[in-house]
Amino acid sequence: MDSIYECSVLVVDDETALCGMIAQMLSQAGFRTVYTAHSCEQARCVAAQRQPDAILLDVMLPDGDGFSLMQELRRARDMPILFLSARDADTDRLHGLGLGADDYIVKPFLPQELILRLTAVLRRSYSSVLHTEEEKLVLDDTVIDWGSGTVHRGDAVLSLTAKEYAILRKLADNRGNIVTIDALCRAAWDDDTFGYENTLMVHIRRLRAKIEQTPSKPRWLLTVRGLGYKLVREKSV
Amino acid sequence: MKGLASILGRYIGAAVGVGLILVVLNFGVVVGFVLNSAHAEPIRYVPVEKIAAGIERQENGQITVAEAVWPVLQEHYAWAMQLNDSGEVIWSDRMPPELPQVYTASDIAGFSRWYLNDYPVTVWSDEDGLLVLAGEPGSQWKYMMESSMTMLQYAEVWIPAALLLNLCAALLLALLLGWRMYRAALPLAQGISDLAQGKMTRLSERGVFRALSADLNRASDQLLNQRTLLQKRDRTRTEWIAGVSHDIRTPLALVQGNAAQMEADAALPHETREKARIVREQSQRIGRLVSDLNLASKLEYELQPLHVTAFHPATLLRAAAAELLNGLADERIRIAVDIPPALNHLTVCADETLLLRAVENLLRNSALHNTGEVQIQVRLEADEQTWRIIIADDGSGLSESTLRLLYAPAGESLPQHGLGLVLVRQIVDAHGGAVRFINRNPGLLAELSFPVYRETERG
Repeated sequence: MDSIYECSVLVVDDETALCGMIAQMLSQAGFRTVYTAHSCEQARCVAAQRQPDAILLDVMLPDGDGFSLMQELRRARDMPILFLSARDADTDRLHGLGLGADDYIVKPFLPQELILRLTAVLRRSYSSVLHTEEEKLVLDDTVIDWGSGTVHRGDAVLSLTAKEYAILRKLADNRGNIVTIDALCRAAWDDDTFGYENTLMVHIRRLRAKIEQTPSKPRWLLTVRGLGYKLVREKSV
Repeated sequence: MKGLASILGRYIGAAVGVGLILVVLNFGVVVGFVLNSAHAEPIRYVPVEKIAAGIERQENGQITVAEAVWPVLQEHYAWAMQLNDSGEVIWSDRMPPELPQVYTASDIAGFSRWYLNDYPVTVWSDEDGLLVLAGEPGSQWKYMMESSMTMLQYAEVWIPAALLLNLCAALLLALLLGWRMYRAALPLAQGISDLAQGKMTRLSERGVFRALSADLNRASDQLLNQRTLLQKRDRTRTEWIAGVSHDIRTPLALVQGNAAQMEADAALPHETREKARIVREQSQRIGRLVSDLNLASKLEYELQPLHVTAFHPATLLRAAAAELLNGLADERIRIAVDIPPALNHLTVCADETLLLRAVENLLRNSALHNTGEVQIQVRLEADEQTWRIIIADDGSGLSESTLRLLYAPAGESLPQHGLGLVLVRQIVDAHGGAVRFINRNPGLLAELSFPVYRETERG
């Protein structure tokens, strides 16, 4: 598999219009194969015949509930499953995630949010079978190769440390958005206590030295005072 | 049952009081009777020895009566006589003719104690013989009492002992009756106390207080019925709102999704994409409103359980601020998060999801209900008793009527506007905290303060 967009996705929702809309969103995002189903029965059929790589599953279906269907489908084949539900109670969300769902998305949702969460799950689930890293981060003349964990600038090749990689990856996954200090600490140290703040600053300074033209006046990796950091998007032309 | 012990004490006190009042009353009656009798029949008694001293036998055997004695005899006695030692009448005054002139020793022994032919008589013996004074028949009652000396001596002990016994018996009886009353009233008091605490009560309808017990049981049944009805109504309303909130999500997802796609479609004219943006934003707003309404109704009727966990409020505040800035992508909104270094480690116990919702609502209110540039300050403070989240902006503040709504007591119906802020108050209330909204002119300051349950420091 060269890219996560090669993954086939099955969308199960009894609302045909919503199913169609999600399928369209996924196609626009680059997913080549999207199947839809409107009941448990149809979902079982499609899952058995087409063997999708991921399923977006509604919780309330006309002939059963998504929770049971997920367990049934998982018994046949292990694959990432994301719930897509109008039930927003904490208990429902915890129940779904507790059963082993990869994510629980509450309706209504924004297209970008759905795509981001789906791609995050796919990347996590299929990282071992992706032959080449699907993307590289390009910041002007600096290219970050996620596969090798290296920064290429002209002829120079700089290696990213594990912590720098985790921090930059987290920022890149949320590019254009502020990522709080706590979220970055969680990504790098799997711990959101504030004790790592100073260490985080050191890592950010080193990252800037590797990816910025002028580290003292960063263009890409910006500090949002009191909150965290942000990897800015490329300015649209 | 401190109250009942006091009732028992008062009961015994009352019994003692009643006893004392009776004693005083009776004493008063006796005194009154005596005084009244004395008034109706003035004391006429002249000691018999004085009368006897006035009646003397001369040496010649003649009897002389002193002048002063006559009026006494006339006024107070029916007749009089003097006997010599042989029992013969030697002098008499108005003596009835049917009476004998000579008396034997047994006659004298008889009348000196009792009556002489129904005449109550008084006798006095001296060297002149025996003086007999008689009153009118039926005018006096005579009764002889005899007692051994031993008994008289015992009486000195027995009478006070009997009085003491009476007193003890009266106290014991009062205590016993009071105790019985206390025992009978105990379940009744428990029942009333249960009712006051909203618990149901079922009392045995027997004994002194059976009518009261029956009334209490009826009151309890009625309360139970009313409460069941109220709970049913509240639950129905909340479930209905939850149902609507659920059903509206799928159509909203369609509106929002399609609008977002149109907004991102570069092939469409700018105006159309701008309209799509408005549709997307407003559908997001509807989504939040419905979600707020759902949560507010659950909190209002206490159907939202608190999932209390330990977390860092500093992390929550930064996440909420970043989320708002990321979601709005609006240059005119600036958020300054000011957390003292020491409070980055503050750990609190609360429902994190609900608190995040409260903070989001406050930030969103400051960001969306103000025009132009808005500077929002987010602060975290703590002392030994409370920890506080303070969110202040430099916008236009709130109208007086909205401020009043925010402080309306719980239980009043949800307002038509400002639901997001009412929800903030409800969330804080559910945590046993307090909320203040202050118009700073310019700007609104909201302070959420919570009691400190547990505070630990982690390195």
